[in-house]
Amino acid sequence: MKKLDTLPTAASSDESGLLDTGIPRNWMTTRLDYVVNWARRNSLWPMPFGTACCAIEMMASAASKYDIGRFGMERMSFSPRQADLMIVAGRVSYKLAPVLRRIWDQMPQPKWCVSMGACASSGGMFDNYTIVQGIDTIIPVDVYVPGCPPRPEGLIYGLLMIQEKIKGESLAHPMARDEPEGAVGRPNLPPEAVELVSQPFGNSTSQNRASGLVPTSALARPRDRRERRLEHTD
Amino acid sequence: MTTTASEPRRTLILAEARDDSDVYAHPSVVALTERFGEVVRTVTRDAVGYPVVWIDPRQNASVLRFLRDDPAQSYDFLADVMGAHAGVGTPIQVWYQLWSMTHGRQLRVACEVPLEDLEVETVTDLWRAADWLERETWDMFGVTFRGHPDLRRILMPENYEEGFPLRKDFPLRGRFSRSEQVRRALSRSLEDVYAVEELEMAGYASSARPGPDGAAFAPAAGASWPPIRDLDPSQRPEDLVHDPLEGTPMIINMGPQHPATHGVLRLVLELDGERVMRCIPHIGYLHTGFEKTCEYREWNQVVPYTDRMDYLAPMLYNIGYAGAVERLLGVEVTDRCRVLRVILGELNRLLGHLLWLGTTAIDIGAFSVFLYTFQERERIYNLHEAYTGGRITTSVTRVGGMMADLPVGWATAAREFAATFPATVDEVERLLSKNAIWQGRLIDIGAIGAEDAISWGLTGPNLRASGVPYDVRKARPYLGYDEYDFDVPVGSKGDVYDRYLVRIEEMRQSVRILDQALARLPDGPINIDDYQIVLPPKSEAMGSIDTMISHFKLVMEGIRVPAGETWYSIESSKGELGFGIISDGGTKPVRCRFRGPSFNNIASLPAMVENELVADVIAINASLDVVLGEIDR
Amino acid sequence: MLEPYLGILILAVVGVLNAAGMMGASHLLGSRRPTTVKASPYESGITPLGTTRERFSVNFYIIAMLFIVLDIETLFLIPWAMSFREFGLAGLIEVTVFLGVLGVGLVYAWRRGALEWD
Repeated sequence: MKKLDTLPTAASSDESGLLDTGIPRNWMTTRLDYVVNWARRNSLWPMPFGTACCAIEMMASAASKYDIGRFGMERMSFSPRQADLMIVAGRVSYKLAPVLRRIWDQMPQPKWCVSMGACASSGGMFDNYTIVQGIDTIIPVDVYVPGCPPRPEGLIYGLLMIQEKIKGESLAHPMARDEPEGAVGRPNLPPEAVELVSQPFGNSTSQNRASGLVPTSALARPRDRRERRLEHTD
Repeated sequence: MTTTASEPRRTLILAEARDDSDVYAHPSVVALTERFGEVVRTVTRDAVGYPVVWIDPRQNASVLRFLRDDPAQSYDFLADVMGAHAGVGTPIQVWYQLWSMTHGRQLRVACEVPLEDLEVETVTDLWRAADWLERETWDMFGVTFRGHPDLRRILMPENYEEGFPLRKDFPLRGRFSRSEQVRRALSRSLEDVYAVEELEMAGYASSARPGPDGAAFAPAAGASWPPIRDLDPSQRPEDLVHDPLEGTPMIINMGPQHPATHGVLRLVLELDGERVMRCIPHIGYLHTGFEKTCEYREWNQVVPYTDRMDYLAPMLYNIGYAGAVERLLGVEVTDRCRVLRVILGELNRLLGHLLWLGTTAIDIGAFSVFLYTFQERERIYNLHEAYTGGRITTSVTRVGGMMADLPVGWATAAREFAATFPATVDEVERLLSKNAIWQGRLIDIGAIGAEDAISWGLTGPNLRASGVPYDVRKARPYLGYDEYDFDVPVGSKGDVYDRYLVRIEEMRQSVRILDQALARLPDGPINIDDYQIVLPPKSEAMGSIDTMISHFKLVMEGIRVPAGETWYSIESSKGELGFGIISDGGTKPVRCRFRGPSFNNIASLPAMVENELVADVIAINASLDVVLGEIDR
Repeated sequence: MLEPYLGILILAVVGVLNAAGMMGASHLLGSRRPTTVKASPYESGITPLGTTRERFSVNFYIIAMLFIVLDIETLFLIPWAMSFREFGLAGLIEVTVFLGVLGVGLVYAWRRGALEWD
């Protein structure tokens, strides 16, 4: 049991107690966790970082037919200061990446992030020079909602997953809310991880070969499909 | 063209398209060859039918000036400036797509600029639309436009160092590794985010660097007041008397993350109190590299990409793209397909206008209208989903036809929608049109005259609200639009209120076309029966060896489009949507240019917004009905 | 004797407890992770350009003053409206004079163009 005069810092062990009060974890704090998490998850204020088609589906889920107001999320906050949940809806280009990172940094804790759509989760159908291959290279993501675009029900399912995640949080575990000064403004993943998650995968790697049965053109095309292959065996 | 049900369908190859002799008789070609002689290198024919004049790149400005100013030519509308690169080491083509409002004629002037002397003269003094279009050509190809007032990157970040993306020697994934691209993206300085003129507006020396946290900091020592741009060159800063009662202008960013900019648009506003002195838009935050990516996709694989550009009215893009490729192929779709494309096009026009109405109303403050219009959009989404399986990203057309025939009962559901929809438009009009607040916020705001609008390259309801009755469906009818009975609403003042009225009336006219089209939807095959272009039915593919071979080649390779080029446009809900497509006879396009109408529409925003209040900026931006997906592509 | 004021006292106490409770709970239970970027001004995700220590246009001040005056006027109208029957005719005349005085000021501001920007 920690002494009360040594307040635990963010980097200290998480078993010892509540974040800034030094109270050890016991049945009272779990009751408190329950209440705090209930309040937090039922009044999430999403910040829509909508860029493209997924933003339209997000707007549709805020409209009457799918209505995320049922979950307490109709108050969309466009200011990061008043938001808890950032929904990145749509493709993010490298030009937009610093804006995304900065807005994420400006959101106060506790904050969560939903990556809505294939483009935000992995770059989607745009494996090219300008689209970030997954926003998790830039900011930490809690829930990925696949789809192109995901239906409003899909987004709502993702939001319910965030609510489940919040249910499982505890004030006694401050590591999840850690935000060291050195990480601010920097990518979320180290360079090797960025390379690993960005490599081409799936159908796109085979298509050019299959259709190369007959040369498609007399003109030269850059052989970029063979670049930066880390471990493909074909 | 009509056929009876008993006649077998034949694809119609436009045989006359292969014969270029008549282009030399075109009045503009005659005038140009007479006047410019050797400058005109050759004349070819676009797949649509109008002539393409290839000129010496060093004379482009004089040729274009003649074409605009000569009363017999008067090409007052510059639809597009695009670059094209045929292959590594080849010259870069620059296309100028022209339309004459007075004579109703279309023309293209193109030139091949050699790589070692990649420079042509600017035409920004001839058409305001050329400003951003030339910037984009510079950004994507590296062609310098001599005399351009502000030739800098527009779609790529200001400090982009990987090169010029649309050149053929530029790899699809860029030159740097992914981790390097992420690192560079996140380490931008103030100078990379602001243009030089904006830094000068704020009084910075252009070599200023931000503090360690990147936050705002004091101007560099010696920064002048008033801002440098206001200084008369003959005055020295020390000589100016500072009026003690005046406020100093403030520079703020509106966007890219903003509820009212309709997407990731960034406006740098210089404000005097609440009044906007200057507005500089920055686009490119949603640049997705569509045009580059589509060069790596087979002709039918491009269709899903076209959904994602104008995601508010996706089928119009599908229809336009398929139409352009069909021009290159020289085929006409079946009657059923033609009428169905009109139905889907008008449904999507409604979809786009409904979203515009909802978001404009919510920006101005009328929240309920947003809910009503989105409810109607859900009904159209149901129709989309019943037919294609997707709500927004429909990918409904294929070259030569559609993805599938209509499900049973779809036409009835569409008829029911068309019958009940006008009631919602009436209700919204009752709420808004005569509302004092609505009128007070919209009338006489952001007006633009007809000549300016044409010069800026505005199209769609924005142009028509300024009094110019130009609608591609009437000017160059496609898909049989000349057989439908509909009007094109035209405004007079060109302010926000006129644009609102024009769009409301267009929705009513769209319903009119819908009713007619649904009434005349014929039975018959949905796809043409040329199995070199459309997939044969499985029963036939399994039955006959030729059909099986066609099926195999179509699946493995895709269709082959004969060598040719075209710039083809349709009327989308936002304006004139152009497709500049070059084929080399292969299975993938060489160049796939999408002329999104919102690109030119938003370029005119600074002109409309000068001396308006900040709240009016939002109203004007909303009235232009832009979609960032087609601005940034 | 002081019973009518009990309601006001309860209202005041509940109000203070509510606000203090919310702020106190956030203070105790909330995370504290200050970083320099988090404290920097928000301008749609872009680094702001220029300082905010600029001279503001005087029109903002005028609008703010007008708002305060008219807002306080509304504030004073509410208690009168709650018990206008007890005040009777005298009260009506008084409040009409009050509104008239402020109305003259409003008309003056209107005619001078203070309600337009510029």
